[in-house]
Amino acid sequence: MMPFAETVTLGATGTLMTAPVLGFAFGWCLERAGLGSARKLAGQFYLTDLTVFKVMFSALLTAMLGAFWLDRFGILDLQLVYLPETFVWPQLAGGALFGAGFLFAGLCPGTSCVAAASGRGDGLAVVGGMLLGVLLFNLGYSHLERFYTSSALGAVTLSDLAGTSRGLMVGIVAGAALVGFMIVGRRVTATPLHRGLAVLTVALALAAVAVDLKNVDAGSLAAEIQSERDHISAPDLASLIIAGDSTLRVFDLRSPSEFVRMHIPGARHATIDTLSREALPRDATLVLYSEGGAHAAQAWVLLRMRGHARVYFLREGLFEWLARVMEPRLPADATERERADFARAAEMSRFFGGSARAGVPRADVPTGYWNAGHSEHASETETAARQSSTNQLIAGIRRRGC
Amino acid sequence: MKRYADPYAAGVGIGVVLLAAYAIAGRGLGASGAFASVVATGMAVVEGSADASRSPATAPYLTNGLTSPLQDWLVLELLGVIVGGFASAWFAGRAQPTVERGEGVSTSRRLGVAVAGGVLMGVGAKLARGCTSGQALTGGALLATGSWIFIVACFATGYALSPLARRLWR
Repeated sequence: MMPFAETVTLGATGTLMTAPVLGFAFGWCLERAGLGSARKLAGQFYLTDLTVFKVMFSALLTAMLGAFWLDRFGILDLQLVYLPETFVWPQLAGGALFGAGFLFAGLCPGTSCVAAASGRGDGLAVVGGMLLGVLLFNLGYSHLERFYTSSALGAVTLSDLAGTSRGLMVGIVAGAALVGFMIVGRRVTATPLHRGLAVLTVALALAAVAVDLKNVDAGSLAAEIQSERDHISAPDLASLIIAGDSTLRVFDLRSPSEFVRMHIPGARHATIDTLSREALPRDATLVLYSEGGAHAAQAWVLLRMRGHARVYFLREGLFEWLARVMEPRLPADATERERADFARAAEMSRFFGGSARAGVPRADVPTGYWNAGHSEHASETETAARQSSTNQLIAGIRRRGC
Repeated sequence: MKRYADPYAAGVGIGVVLLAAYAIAGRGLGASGAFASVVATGMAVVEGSADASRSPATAPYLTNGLTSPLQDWLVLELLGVIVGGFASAWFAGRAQPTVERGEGVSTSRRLGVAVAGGVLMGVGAKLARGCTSGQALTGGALLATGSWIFIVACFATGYALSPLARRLWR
């Protein structure tokens, strides 16, 4: 899963080694397009040469659509890519100053390096001016600090701000850029390359709008919750663990101390916060549990919104695991169905080192135990009762030295 | 001298490089950040690293104390840009010492205006926390709100002031 730097696939040095390679390709493309020439860049402002617009927006569209789709296919986790933070007024003022400088210099910081590298003295002068400008800013920072840190909105995207899906915003940006390209190129005949790129862009952008209509639709999440496809029963989870399902990831959302005391074998400790930033394979089966069901259910919504399809939680939390897998009890007056379920549970219990007990009085069987998977959400008193039974069950298991 | 490449094809090339940067380094491309890193290191050498590490303007570039800016991703990336730009110009027969200027503009005037433009961009890029690479391209493709504010402000100002600079580029 990418990015490699965040998932520590390449290591710090490995990541650093890629910088000059990517920079080389960047500089090469800029120079090939003619963006080492100040007159060419300045032509942008007089509408005599629109190379800047064409290069910049085709690069932007490529990266935007590429990032969107790599994220959607689970290859790149966009949550882990650094998103520049928004500071409204400083960026408005900084952008304006920058635009004025760009007009007079005829070069921007990256292209000034390319110009200087190809022997242009004006490029070198811009590089010197940039260094001087940064120095002046740093020296005057104490006077600028209040403004510099004002109107902070954090790392927000246009789609966050507009309350639309990411896919819709991708579609809007791509559409606007394509219209711009058409206006700019209206007097020249398009080459097959241009037509091909345009068709590909339209297809990828429309598909982005379409998948997000389906994906972040609150209505479909609600339907999943209503039809109870959002949870997994403890015995079903036990079967997955026993089968050694390699895509399975189990997360314990209780406190670290409770996690240390006891957790489901193979589970990792997590908080809603760490879970929201964690790089998880898109095809993983994610199972969440907490003390009761609340935290796990909240994390479920979060992971579903992040696009993970196979997310489940134990509705009754660790209690359900202990009561139905570790310590299954069969009442003396059990029904036929209870006996069948118990036989399966007893086998699992042995696998996980628990102990199954048959023939106990009905009163010793925790409330809602056999039908834990079928019950409606537990009331507050029931949740409190379960919590204390969870503690009793843990205490019992620990006494036996499991 | 070779003709310039198709701008759309070159743009797609840059887009792919940017995408690779997201995927490998978890961050985009940049240019002004490398300038900031070099200046911060320079200031730390002159003022002493303790002072520069305390100033919030330079501290983010000196997180490991006074280390070489060659350990900074953006600085290495910009060195690559310089080498790549040179290589492309060389193979296209475009690498030669010159000062590019409009007709009737003296070399010294052109260089003076270029330095002034650079200063404005240096301050502007610091205020905006990035330039055409780090904000417009990198943040723009990630749909960052501030990056789009930057794009609009930058080009709106450029077009608004363009009559003032017309003589420079005629």
